[in-house]
Amino acid sequence: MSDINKKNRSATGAKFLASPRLLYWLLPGLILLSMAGTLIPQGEVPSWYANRFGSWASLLTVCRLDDIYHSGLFTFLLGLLGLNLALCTWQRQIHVRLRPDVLLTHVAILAVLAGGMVTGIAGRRGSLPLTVGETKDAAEGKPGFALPFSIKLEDFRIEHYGSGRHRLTIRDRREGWSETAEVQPGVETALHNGLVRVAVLGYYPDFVMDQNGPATRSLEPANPALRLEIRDTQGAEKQWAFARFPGVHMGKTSRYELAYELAAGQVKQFRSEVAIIEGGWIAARRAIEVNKPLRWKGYTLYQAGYDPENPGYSSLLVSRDPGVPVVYAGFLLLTAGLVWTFLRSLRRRP
Amino acid sequence: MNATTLNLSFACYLAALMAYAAAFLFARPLLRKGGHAALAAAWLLQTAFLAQRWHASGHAPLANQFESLVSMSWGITGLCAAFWRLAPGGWLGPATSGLSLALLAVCALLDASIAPLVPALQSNWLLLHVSVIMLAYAALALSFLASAVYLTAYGGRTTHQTAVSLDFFNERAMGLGYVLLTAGIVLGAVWANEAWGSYWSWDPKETWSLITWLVYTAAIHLRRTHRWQGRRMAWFSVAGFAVVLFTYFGVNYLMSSMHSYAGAR
Repeated sequence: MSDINKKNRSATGAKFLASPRLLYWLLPGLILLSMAGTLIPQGEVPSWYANRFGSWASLLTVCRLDDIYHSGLFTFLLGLLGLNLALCTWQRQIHVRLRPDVLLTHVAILAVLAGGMVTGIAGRRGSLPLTVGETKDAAEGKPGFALPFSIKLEDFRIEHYGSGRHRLTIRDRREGWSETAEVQPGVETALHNGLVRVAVLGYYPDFVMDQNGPATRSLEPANPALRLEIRDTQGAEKQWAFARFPGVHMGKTSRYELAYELAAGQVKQFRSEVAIIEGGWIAARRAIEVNKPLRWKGYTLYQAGYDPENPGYSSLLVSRDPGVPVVYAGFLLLTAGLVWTFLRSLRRRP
Repeated sequence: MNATTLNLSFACYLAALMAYAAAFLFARPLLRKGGHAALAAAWLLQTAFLAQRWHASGHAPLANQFESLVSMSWGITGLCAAFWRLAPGGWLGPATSGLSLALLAVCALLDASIAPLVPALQSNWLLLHVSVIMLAYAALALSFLASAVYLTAYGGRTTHQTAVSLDFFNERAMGLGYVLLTAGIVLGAVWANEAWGSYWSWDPKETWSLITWLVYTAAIHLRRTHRWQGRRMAWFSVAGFAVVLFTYFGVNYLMSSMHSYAGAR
């Protein structure tokens, strides 16, 4: 009698596993957990949760609500979703033969889930923090991993839109007044109720003195300088203003003291120039930018970070993910399956 | 010139809504035709505005909330024309005018200045991903409009001819929205892998897109397997669109996200 009950129970369980009804339990569960993951900050250190949630922090950590998307429960629900989908698809295919577009869509979702599993198991991600001139052959992370080549950061540049805004502060040593204004090359600016006029005669983003006199090495604002003409009621004088070297070339006889600040334009691109070294030799030289990663021997290197305090620092992200082709194949089949389903539905009339 | 075009478009939507209201109140078919003409003019002006902005900025007008919202409103009115024959009863024109008008009114609260693209947005994927997502939202908005009309006008009379056509309209619009939403999420994932080194990072925007997708997945399966139709499906569509709105607006304003450049500056 008990054997029959057990058999009945397991048959009911198997039937439920292969039933769309299970899907209607799984979907709200996944939705609620996903929502919770966006409301509770994820991946913070335990002390952060202790500060924020007080005595509830330990409960959060025990229930893995601090890392929901990698928790056992979330993984179990995703796995159950995959199993339910596979069993439903298989059973329907045997009994009623699913429409090819529906079969394609279901198989595609299984491929995406399988690809995600491959990513979780075999994928590697690490960071490669570098300063200009530095070479590394291993990525940092949990855990770190060795690379089959070395990466040398040869140069790192932050490119900006436009040349930025020139802010000039002028102080009259005799009368004591000071005023700040935004000036532009080739334009005259009136200060102190129009009694003083400042004209920017030239802008040198990367000032240098060469054989021919003042020049600029590049368009990058590495050493910004302005050549100015200051006119007042008593005459005119020419002066230099350097953003990085205030006070340089400012004669003590000059009536005006200048402070020049170049506010850079919005960041256009972060660009790391790297050399890939194999067996002690440079195998290739490449540039890595945001949206333009470097692919080399199954690894992909991304521009990931910079340090505003250290212009020679660039952080790269290294990734090797064998799950990507499987996920992409799933994406392609999923889109094709759904488009097919929609096109078929157009034949129907109300 | 640019802002004037959008203001004129707003005025045409308003004129369309007023013409439809007058046609309803005074039972004048000519006024209804005037509403159609004003709606078409509003869409053409919006098209001109988006084209001008694309030309002026040098990139697709999809880089911030203002641009994407104008595009979404443009998509709703554009899709309204595609769905016109499926909407007997004359509800689609006024409903679309009202919604597009409301969206353009929200646009007035957002920063409309043209800014250069941040590095993360400098990609052709911007056009592909955001335009498909906005069209998906537009189709789901039409599904919501049909459901709202169904619930307010025909909630208890499921056998009424217009109610049946509204339910069919809801199904069709939701189906299109679901396909586009899937394609948009897929395109976003591929772009994320190209820009951030991971096709899925459980970023709030990604997660809420997935939640939206799961909600509509449930809706579509319930219709197919449990024959959910009419009133229940209309409520599902309204709830689904609330999730769409949270994904689109709520995440930008309430959560810290890698998609934060999509919010208002």
